[in-house]
Amino acid sequence: MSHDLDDALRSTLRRHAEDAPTSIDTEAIRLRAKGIQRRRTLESVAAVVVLLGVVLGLGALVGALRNDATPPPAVTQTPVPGSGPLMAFTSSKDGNTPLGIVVRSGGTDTVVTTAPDFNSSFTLVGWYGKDHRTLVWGQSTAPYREVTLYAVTLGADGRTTDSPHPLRVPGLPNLGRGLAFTGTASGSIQFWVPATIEDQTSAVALVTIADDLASGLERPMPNGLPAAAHPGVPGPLAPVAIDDTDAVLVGIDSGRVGVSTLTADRPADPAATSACTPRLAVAANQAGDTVALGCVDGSVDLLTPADGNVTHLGVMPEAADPGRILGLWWDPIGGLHASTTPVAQADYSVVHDWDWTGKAWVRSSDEGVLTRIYPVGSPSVRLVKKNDLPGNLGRWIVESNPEVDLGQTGGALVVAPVTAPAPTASPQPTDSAPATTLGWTATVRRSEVAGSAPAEQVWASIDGRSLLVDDAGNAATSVLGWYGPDHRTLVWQTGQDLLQLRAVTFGTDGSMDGRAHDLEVSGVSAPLVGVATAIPGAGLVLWHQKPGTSPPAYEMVRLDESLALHSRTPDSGGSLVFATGTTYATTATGKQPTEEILLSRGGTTTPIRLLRNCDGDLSGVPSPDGSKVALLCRGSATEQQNHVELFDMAANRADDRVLPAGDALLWWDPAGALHASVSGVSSGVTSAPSTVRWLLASGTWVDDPGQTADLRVFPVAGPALSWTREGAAESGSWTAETDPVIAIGPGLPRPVYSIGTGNIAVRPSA
Amino acid sequence: MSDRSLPSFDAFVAARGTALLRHAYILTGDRYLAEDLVQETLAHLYRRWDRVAATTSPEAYVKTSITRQFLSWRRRRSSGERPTDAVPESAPAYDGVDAVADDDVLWRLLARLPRKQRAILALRFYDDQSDAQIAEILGVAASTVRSNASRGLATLREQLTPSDVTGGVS
Repeated sequence: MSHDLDDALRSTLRRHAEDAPTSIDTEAIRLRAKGIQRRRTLESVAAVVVLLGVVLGLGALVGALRNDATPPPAVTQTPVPGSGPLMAFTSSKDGNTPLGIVVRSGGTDTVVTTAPDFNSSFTLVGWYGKDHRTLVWGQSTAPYREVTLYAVTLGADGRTTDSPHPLRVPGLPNLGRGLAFTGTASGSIQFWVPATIEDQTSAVALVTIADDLASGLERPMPNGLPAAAHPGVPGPLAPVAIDDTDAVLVGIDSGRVGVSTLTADRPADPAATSACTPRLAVAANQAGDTVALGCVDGSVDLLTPADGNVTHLGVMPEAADPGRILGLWWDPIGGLHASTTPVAQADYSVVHDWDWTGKAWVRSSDEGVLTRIYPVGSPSVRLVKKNDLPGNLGRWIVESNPEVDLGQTGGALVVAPVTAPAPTASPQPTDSAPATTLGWTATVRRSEVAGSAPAEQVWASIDGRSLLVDDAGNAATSVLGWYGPDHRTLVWQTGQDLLQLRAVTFGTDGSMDGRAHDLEVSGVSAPLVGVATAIPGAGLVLWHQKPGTSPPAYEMVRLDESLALHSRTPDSGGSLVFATGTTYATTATGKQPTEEILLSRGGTTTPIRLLRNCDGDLSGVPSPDGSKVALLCRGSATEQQNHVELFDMAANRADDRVLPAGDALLWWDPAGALHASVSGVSSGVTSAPSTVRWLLASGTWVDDPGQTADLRVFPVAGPALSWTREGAAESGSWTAETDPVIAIGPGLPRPVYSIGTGNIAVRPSA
Repeated sequence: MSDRSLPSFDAFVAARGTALLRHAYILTGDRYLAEDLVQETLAHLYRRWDRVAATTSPEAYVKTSITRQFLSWRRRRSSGERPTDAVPESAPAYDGVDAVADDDVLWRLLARLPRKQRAILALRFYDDQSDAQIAEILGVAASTVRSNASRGLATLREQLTPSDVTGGVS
């Protein structure tokens, strides 16, 4: 049928191509081209106006620094060993020009870089790398908004260990110039690399750089530019990240303001759209799922891209034109706050603060706070408006005891996460368990945004650090395991009908050696496409579609733990049902519904007739010792219920069991009991809590009300892993059943074709 | 190559306009959208036509631009129908009777596919492009092309009966 479909597609497309329009109005094209030219001219003028504003703002900042009676923070190039959080902020070297970046460590300030000329500007991005001691910033020269990423690393003593240099990320030899943003949810850097001006066909990419700076992922994006992150507006700005995957843009498009999900798959429409006329005040909450947008009428809109909702929060009276909202920020527990001025005059001499109660805006007890920043594990920092400073310049104040004045600024401030508890006078509880991790694990996460195609990504957790390994896009993906020397090569498969094996190897320090790539194995014709099954502790088996064969021919390829070829066995086709290290089964080619499976073992094939014909998807789950197989026939259009058959390798049968309609999963425990989990399905959306049962080896189904996990996985070595649903379909997290429990993070529950390890792989050496 | 040997904009449109419209129609499945898509793309290229004309294959360049413009299109409101990246869950399945009565079922199912999948299938089965060529046109990895093509074909296969396919061939 596959080749029939190919032919039918060719025929249909070519037949319908005859219906295409036949004439092009070249005059209309010329008129449209003129319109485009006019629009670009206007945009250029607007860019110049913005640029002038930035230059004037910088000029005002420099002037203020020159005239300020209070001396700027002490600056030294030879810092003493410091403690406390690393903070970086833009300032001036000596109260005159040029601007530079200052790092405060343990009360000592260090200028890590100075602007090469007056037109230069900096965009602070954040602290990354090992122990978050590498400062990353963007550097540009007017009139360009796009920046080149730079980095410098500070040692534990607060001294720089290298000179400022363009950021280098393994696997991304040329980052180019772009717009840099901090991913608030994932900790990664989102770097938007726009197309060459006027070149509609050159690539636009969003580069996601992992927080350890050891890897990055470049994803194609639709044409366009994200909204400006104004260098004078502190606080979190778009884009933000949702579920660690999708970058989200707050942007202005054709007079409307929307939150767009930025992937090449879904460039069509903003996920949520606000009708208000926006100001520059924009803030994403710390979860990254809600964006607050200040409007010119003094109101605030909350946009949630996941469901497209827009909530209008009402007006802060003083903020309506001619007043304005100066800043919006979120506190760590989700509270929203704002600063306003009643008259948008040049120096914003009056600044009021507001708190959103959930029903209305009320005046805050604070006055003059333009924004607050809440670094993890560090004292909060507020930017306070002082009446002697022009414009929206303020002073950064660290809210410690006593408070610390970092000096005046109109720029951003970034504070490194504290990775170890700071020494305190009070003793720590002696019974607290030490922090622990599960070594190296890998799983697949899925992103679903209303109205968009789902996307799946492979993530690794390396000693507790999350790392984006591969973006499979709109394709089903499952991890297979850690292979190769020292089990440092992660292997996964991705695709739909047939799956491509992919891999990446990690260094001993946990960094990725290069980028994810299609797996190639000596002795096996590439591409390695088919369906693979992990054989716990013994490599993997690939039901391989031989390339260049028509009709398609298949073989069973066994790879050992080092990913070397172990054996190849020709196969007659059909569809794979399950595989172990010594046995596999397929359905007969072209028969629907499936009446029997063909069990292949040691060169012989034995047909096993099913107790009940299967009109849906048929897959098998072998027991850990390979002695038994549970066959799961998922409900079809004609039969909603799932049913399970059990047989051993001697073809002894157990009665089939019916499971309710829904998304069913099967797994074996080490004691030989088979478990099943079925999630309710309504209109294609999984919503009801799972019904969990278990099947004793004797074949009796028993309800197990004590079962709390929706799925359990039992690695060869190490603790059992549990997956528990959290809300919507396929949304859940993995935990290790240790004491105390170790949270692994979000992941997918379902193994593709019910084969594999539950879509999570733990490195054996861990 | 001298400028004299390069095709003028008007000459190119006159010679290859129909092919461009067919390409756009296969992508959009809508005559008006196809015209709009071609106009929009050519308008962007008009001002730098000399550079386009100097490429090895201006037609391939323009088709690539059309395809990318299609994938990044966000203005389709006036048509009352715009491409979607997701097949609605509630999309009715086609039963055999409908399919036999309407040999356009495959065309209609194609129109319901996400845009990238539709574009990839169009490039593969109408333009006979290889996966590597499609990857270059779309600016994505070849594996992405394969997975999207596979998913698109799987979706079609799920909703078609053998008689639909036979009907499509006729």
